[in-house]
Amino acid sequence: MSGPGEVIITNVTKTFSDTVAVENINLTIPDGSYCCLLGPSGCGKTTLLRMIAGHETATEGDISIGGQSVIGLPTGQRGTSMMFQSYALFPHLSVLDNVAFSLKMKGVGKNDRRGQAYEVLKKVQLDPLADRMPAQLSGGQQQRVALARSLITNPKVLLLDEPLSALDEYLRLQMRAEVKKLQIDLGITFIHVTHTQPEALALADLVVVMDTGHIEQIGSGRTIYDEPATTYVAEFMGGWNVFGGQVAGVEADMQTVRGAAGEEFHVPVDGHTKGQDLNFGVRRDKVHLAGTDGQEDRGNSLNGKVHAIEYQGSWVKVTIERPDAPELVAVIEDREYFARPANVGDEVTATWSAEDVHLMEKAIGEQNLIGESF
Amino acid sequence: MAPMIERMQRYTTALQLTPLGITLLLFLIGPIVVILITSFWKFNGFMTTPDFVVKNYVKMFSSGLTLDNYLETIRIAAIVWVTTAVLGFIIAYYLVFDLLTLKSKMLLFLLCVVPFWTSGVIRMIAWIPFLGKEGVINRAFMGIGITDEPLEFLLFSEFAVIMSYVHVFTLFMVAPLFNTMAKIDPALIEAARDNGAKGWQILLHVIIPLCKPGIAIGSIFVISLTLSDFTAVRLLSGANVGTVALSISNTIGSLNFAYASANSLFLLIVLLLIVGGIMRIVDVRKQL
Repeated sequence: MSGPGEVIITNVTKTFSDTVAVENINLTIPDGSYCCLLGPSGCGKTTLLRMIAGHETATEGDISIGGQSVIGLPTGQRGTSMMFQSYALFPHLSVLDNVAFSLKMKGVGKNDRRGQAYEVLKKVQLDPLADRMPAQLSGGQQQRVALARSLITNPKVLLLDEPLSALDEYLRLQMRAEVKKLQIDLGITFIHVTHTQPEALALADLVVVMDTGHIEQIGSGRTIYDEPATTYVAEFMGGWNVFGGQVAGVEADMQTVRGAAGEEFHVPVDGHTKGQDLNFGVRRDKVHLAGTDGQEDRGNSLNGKVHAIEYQGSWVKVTIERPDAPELVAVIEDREYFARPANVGDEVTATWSAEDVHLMEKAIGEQNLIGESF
Repeated sequence: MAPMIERMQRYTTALQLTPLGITLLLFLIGPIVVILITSFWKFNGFMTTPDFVVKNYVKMFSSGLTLDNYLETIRIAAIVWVTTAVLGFIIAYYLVFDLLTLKSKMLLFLLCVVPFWTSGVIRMIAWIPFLGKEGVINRAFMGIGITDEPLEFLLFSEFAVIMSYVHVFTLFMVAPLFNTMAKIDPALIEAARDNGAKGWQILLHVIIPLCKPGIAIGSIFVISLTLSDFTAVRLLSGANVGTVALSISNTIGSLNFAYASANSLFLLIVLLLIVGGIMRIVDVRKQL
C-alpha cells in the first residue's frame, strides 16, 4: 500500500561536473515514517534531500512521491516542504508574514492568510511573537517559525536539513522531542538529514547510513546500532570495537580467527572456510576487564595497558592500548568497575564472550571514521 | 601611573576623531559657511562686495526662471534616476545571480570600472561623434534605411544630456546594488521557491525588498550627481536645456558670486530634503 507520503528513490545518481555526489541510490521511505539520512559531511545526504525537494535535479534515476514520479515537477508542486539549516527566514517580513508567505504566493487574501498563519503559529506556541521580525528572535524561536512556515503548505513530506545543528545542547534535546511529537501528531513523512548519531537513533523509524555517495545500511535505529552491516556503520555509529582477521579453524559452533597482530578471536560460525578474511566487532559495553566479576575468561581475551579512564556516571569508559594494534574500549557498568577499579598504566585483560561478537562486511567506502561513544 | 593612563584614555576618542574632524571642517563645513556668507553680499553689476542684504534671495524666489530651472532639473534627474535604477538592477542581478564563478563576477565588475579611468567630461564629449548629424548612429540608421534624414533629436538636446548621465552614473547604481544583492542568502531564494513562489514572485517579494538599501544608496549617488552637474548640459544640450547647476555656473561666469551662492545653498537644501526623504523610507544603515 503506497500512501501519499511514500517516497521511492530508484537508481538515483547525481554528478556535479566531474564529482559524483550520490551514486545509484535505491531507497523506499514508507508513508508517515520518520526517516533519518545519517552520515558525515560530504556523504551526499543533503544532495539526496535537495533532489527530493527539487532544489537539485537528479542526473539519472527516478524519484516518486505518493506513487507519482516528481522528476521535472517544480519545487513548489511536489507535496514536499523543506526546512533549511539556516532557517532561511525572510528578514524583511514579520514572523506572521513569513509563515503566510506561501499563501501570499497562491494569492490568498491578506486577512485570510494571516488568520491561517496565526493558527499554525499557535501550534508551535509562537503566536505571541507574531509581529516580531526574525532578527529579534532566538535561535530556537526562529526554528519554530521555519517549522510553521514549512507546515502551512500541508506537505505530504517534510524535509529537514540538519534542523537541530544550530541550536545549543539544551535546546537541541528539547526541540528533538518536540519534532518527534509533531511528526507523530501530523502523521506525515519526515525526512531528516543529520550527522549526529544519537539524533538519528532517537528520532527515526528508518535510519539510512550513508558514506561518500552511497548507502551503507538501511534499518531501524536498533538494527543499525546493534547489528551494523559493515565495519563503517559500526565505526560511524560508535560504541563498537571493530576487528579483522583470517579464519584459522572452524569447529561445530565456533570459529577461530587470527588477527593482524597475531591475536586469536573466537567468533560465531557463519559458513566461512579456513583462510577467509573476516570482519567482526564487539560492542564496547560487552567487554569486561578480567577478574572484575569473577568470570575470568569469556572465550575472547586481549591484553593491553590502560590508557585512559573516563567516569561517566552510570558507566566508566576504559581505553586500552595494545602494541601494534588499534586500541580497545571497554564500557563497564559503574558497580562492576568500582568492585575492582584499574589505574592508568595497569596491565589488564579485556574479555568478552563469543556470542557477543557480531560479524560484518568490510566497508565499501574508504572513509575511516571513529564514532563517538555515547 | 594609573590616573595618568586614565586621563590619557579620556582623550583617546577625541584624538582619534581629530583627523576626520579637521578634514570635514576644512573641506565641507568651511566652504559651506563661505557660501552662506557670500550669499548675503551685494553685486553691483561688475563685482561682488561684502555686505548684508537679502536681495539675492528675494530675486531668486521671485524669478519665474528659478522655478523653470528646478522643474527641468528635477525632471531630468527623475528620468536618469529611473533609468539607472532599472539598468543598475539588471546589471547587478546578472553579476550576482547569473554568473556562477567569483572570478567572472569580479572580472566583469572590474570591466564596469574601467571607464572611470578617463575623465567624466571626456566620456560626455565622446557622445558627440556618436550622436551628431554625421555621427555613427545617424549614418548607420541611414545606411540600413531606418531613416532618410539624420535624426536631429539625438545631439544638442535633452536626450543627449540624459544619455550621457545614464552612461556615466549607472555604475553608481550598480556598485551598491551589487553589494546588497551579494549579501542575500541563496537559501532565501530556495525557501521562496519551496513556498511555491514563481520567478517573478521571488523577484518582487524577496529580492527587490532586500535590495532596498542598495537602491537607496545608489539613488542618493545618482540624484546628487545629476543635480550638481552642469558640464553635460553645457556640452550636449545645445542651449536647449536649462538646469539649476548650469544657471549657477553661468551666474559665476558673470561674476555674480552672491546670487550664485544663494542659488547653490537652495539647491543644497533641495538635495538634502531628497536624501532625507530617501533615508526615511529605507533604513540605509543595514547596508553599512
